[in-house]
Amino acid sequence: MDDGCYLYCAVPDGHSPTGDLRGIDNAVVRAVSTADLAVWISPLPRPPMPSVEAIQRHNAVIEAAMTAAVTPVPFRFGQFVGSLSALAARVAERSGEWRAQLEAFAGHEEYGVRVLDPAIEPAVRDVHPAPVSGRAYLETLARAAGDERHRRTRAEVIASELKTRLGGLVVQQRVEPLPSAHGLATIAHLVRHEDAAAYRDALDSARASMPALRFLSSGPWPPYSFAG
Amino acid sequence: MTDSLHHGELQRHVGLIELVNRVLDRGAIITGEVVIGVGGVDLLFLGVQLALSSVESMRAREQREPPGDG
Repeated sequence: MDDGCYLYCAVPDGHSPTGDLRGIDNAVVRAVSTADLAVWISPLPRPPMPSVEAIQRHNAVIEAAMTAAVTPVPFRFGQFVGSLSALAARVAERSGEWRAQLEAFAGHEEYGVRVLDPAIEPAVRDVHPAPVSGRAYLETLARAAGDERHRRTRAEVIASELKTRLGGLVVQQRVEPLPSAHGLATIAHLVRHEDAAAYRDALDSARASMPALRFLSSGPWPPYSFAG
Repeated sequence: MTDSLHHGELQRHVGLIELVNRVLDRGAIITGEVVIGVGGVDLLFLGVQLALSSVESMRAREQREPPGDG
């Protein structure tokens, strides 16, 4: 094949698309076996143009790879190689890591929780600031750094409290500060598929117990946040 | 059923934001470079954060001004 390959995810060898699965630019999706793994690809002559539809197609292919037994290692949007030999070389570099992730991800899915605090006063930025002294400028930078440290600490504390309330339903957790106006934390939870309903119920209970905060939940997702 | 429509629209909004954030900013990297240049990713990510702020503001506004039945 002279064309390039657009890449979606890594799966266990032998796990192939069913039916006529179509992906980016309506191209057929197929599994390519290499280094004791399979990678789901679409043959494309060039990298696709980014668009909401392309992003939705990318995710839909990865979701199609999810079964009760298989959870793929999802690739970030836009991964493209020029040939199958280039693909084999790239996969060989990461195959050990991905085999371990496939084993750890099997039977699991990701859920997302964004925590917002309406009480946070958004910082007001003057887009045309008046000239200030060097000392005032440095003090402004120090305040900003202090605010960021405070937000990161609060994110860790809230994520820890949430994980305690969710108990053993959360297998792994990733936490990042959420740098929006009222944002506190972006949290990703890896949850066993059979625990999904119990996880949602426990999250609703945790949400009710912290009425001062807002929670935006989403999922299930392929484990994007755990595949980096 | 204005409340349901508002909630449904909000859920779709949040779902799209979450999808774009995850698919662009998460996941394994195999090639070391993506189809979107660094500037493009930054712009999209900035847009996502602004949209998230808008969702949060919309929720706050809904709480202050509950939608009517019509």
